[in-house]
Order: sequence, then structure tokens, then C-alpha cells
Amino acid sequence: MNDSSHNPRPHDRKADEGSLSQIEELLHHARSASAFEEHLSAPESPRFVRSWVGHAVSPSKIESRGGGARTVGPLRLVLTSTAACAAIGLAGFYFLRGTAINESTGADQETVAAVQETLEMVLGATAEPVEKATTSHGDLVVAIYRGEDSRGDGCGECWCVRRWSPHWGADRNVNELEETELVDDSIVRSCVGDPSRVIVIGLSGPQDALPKTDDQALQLSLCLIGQSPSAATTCVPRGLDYCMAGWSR
Amino acid sequence: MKSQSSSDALQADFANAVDRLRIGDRTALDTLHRRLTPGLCRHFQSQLNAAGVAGGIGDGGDLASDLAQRTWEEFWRAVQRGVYDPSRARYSTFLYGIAANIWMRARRDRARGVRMRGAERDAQTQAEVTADLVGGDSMATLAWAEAIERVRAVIEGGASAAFSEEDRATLRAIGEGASERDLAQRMGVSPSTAHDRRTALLDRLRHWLEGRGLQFGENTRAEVGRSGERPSLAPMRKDL
Repeated sequence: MNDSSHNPRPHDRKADEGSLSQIEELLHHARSASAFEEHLSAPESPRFVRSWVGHAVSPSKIESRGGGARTVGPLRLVLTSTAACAAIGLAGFYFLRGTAINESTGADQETVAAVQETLEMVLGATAEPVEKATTSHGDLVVAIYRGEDSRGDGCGECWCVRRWSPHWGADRNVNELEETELVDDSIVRSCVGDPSRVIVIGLSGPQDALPKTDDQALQLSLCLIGQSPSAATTCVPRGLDYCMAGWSR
Repeated sequence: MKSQSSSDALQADFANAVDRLRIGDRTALDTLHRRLTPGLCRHFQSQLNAAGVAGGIGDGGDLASDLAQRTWEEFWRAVQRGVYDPSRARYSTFLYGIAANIWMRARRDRARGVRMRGAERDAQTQAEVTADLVGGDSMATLAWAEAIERVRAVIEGGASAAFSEEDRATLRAIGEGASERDLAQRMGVSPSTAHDRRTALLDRLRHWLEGRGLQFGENTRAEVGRSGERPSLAPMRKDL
């Protein structure tokens, strides 16, 4: 510290304290502005790294449907689902374990890269629209957030769940969304400080089959995250389309 | 600390969008808006979380999105009117100044018991918000952003040899809310010595800023601005 000589006269002291308080506030805002800049840049940083889609019927029952709807063949589903299983299972494991994928060691980075590569393969193979439900259609998004640390930023147990009815418009269902569309809303609805640490599950289909409560939605989500795709069909009520996605830096 | 190249890239994106907007290309605006809005929403969401306004499902998200939209509207209005001067503050700092003002208005509205979302709030506060957004307020916000920019330059090390790295570290700690006891531990001195050093350092920064045309009110809050400009309406509070 090379200047500690300033010693205001008594009658100036109050005024000086006021202006120094302003300086202190400016410092606070300067720091906040730097953090704000990082927030602004963040959308480019978190990347859409995992997505898989499905339709909750038994793979053996999937068959070509009329009306021009595109379908997924059984073998293709099994193959791609197996790859998706490995990737999502690993991603879900890291997510639930609380390990920051992006902050990991070199070995973890390699793992993440492998997951991403697998997912890209899966994405290319499975991101096809599945036929829409024809009656009483509904959409639901469930997002599971995990806080950065034990403080949780408003998320009492470090992680929390949000559930909402999306407005995708034009009668689209979850399998017809653009790449990041499913997770976009999750950013602004986050209940933790770092909303990039989220797994989002979108559901479309018969209204009656959609989870009615947060608890039901959570159970379904945890089931989906923890199961293989073939077993995942047992997590999702029959007739629902589903898509799981997430951000990671 | 954020890398300079990343910050520069962000400013370049802003500048490019503004240049293209000036020749009538609104797609640049849309692209930048789409890219940066999630970050802006995250900023407001963090503020809402810190203020305990998360609310029920969708409440925080709707509000953060609403505040982000208001910020964009004011930002682009200021840019289109030619109020913004990139030589005085970075785009991101100017946008931050606007966002902070928008946030303060939202806090004020909430304190008045106005609903924070929905048609009721919109009808009641729109006129007030609009009034705040026009006229010299953007100029005042720019003056405030300039002051923030100057301080950023100091604490990020790009401004002046008048401040040592130790000074900058102390200023950063103060900006992060470090108490005098924290500072004393950091400096390895007694709290009273830390108090004296802190006061001296803040005073030196004030003189440094005043030497660059920025003025600080003596008896009123938030009178940061250049000579001849209206005082900033931005209430510079730490409890945003």
C-alpha cells in the first residue's frame, strides 16, 4: 500500500465517507460487470452434448406406420439405444454423483469426449421424429438441476426439480424440436446458480400418461437417467415420446 | 478472471451487430439477441435466486426472461439513438449498467407491492418503465457504465501504473464484499490498520477517477457522471 497519507478534515469526513461509499459500490459493480460478461458469453460455452429420443413402446412392437410418419426400425433402435445407454448412463452417473464434467481431470475429459462422440453418433441415428399421439396430446418438461456446491443457491439439497408445460407450438412434440430447444427454457427456469448443470427430459403424448406431480416426474426422470434405453421404455408410460438432453461446458 | 480475448470477441460481436443494424440488417440483431439472451436470463436468475424470488415453478424463469427482454429493449433503443459511445464503456459494461437499472426498478416495484409479472404489473408499471427509458437516462447510464469501466480497468490491471498488483487485489476483495477483518487477514495487519489502508486506497481510486473527469457527489448517492451530464439514476447499491 503506497498511499495512506490522506487525512480529511473533520468537516469533510462525512462527505468523503459518502463518496468513498460510492467508490466501494463502483468496485462491487465492476466485479459484477465482469461476472455479467461471463454470463453473457456462457451460452456459447455450455454445449448441447447429449440427447436421445424414444417412444415408449416395446422395441419389438415398433413398426412402420402409415400416414407418412417416419419410423425407427427395431434393429436400429436396439443398436442406437445401446450406444445411447452407455453414453447417457455415464452422463447421468456423473451428473448424479455431482462431478463437474467440465472440471474434470484429463482422464475424465477423455471420457466426456468419448461420451460426446458416442452421442453424436446416436444423435445422427436416432433424432428422427416419431409419430405423434393422435388424441389428447400434452407436453411436459422435467429438469433436474444440480448446484455447484453444497450451498446449492436456493436449492436446499444441492439439486432440485422443475416441471413445466412447454409451448413448442404448431402441434409439435418433443421429438420435433430443434437441437437446443429442449434445454433453452431450462436456463431461465433454473433453481440453482449454474443452470448449465441440468438434465432435461421432455415428454409428449397422451395427456393422461404424463406425470401429474413433481414426485412422479422425478421418479420417471431418475428411472430414465439410470436405465438402459431398452429398460427405459419401462420407465415411461406407454405412448409417450421422450427426449433427454443436457448442457455441459 | 475472464480472458481478454474472450471479452474482446464479445465486444467484436456487439460491434458487428451494431454496424450491420445501422445498414438495416436486422438479422445481426436477432442473431446476437438469440445468442446472448440466455446469458442475460442467467444473470437475472442469479439475482432472483440471491434475492429469494425464485417462487414457484416458472415464476423465476418468467421474470428473468421479462427483465432480460426489457434490458435488450433499452439497450437497442440507446444504440439506435446514438447515445452509446464505445469509447466510454464496453458494450457489455453498458448492457450491465442497463441491466442493473432494470433490476433496481424491479426491486422497487416489488417493494411497492406491485406484482412482478402478469398483466396487472405490466399495466401499472409500463408507463413508469417507459418514462425511465427515455430522455437523458441512457446518457446517465452511460456515464455510470463509464465509471464502472474505469474501475474495471483498474482492478483488471489494464489501466494504470498508479495501482500495484497488491492494490488491485485489495480493490477486488473490497468489490467482492470483503470485510475489514478479511482484509486484515489478507494483509497480515490489524483491523484498524486494514481500515486505514482501505480508506486510503479507496480515496486514491476516487482521486484517480476524478482526474479522468468523473465526479462523485458529496452528500447524495449515485451522482456519478461527467460534468454537465445528469446525475445517474442508477442507485448503486450492493444489495442488488
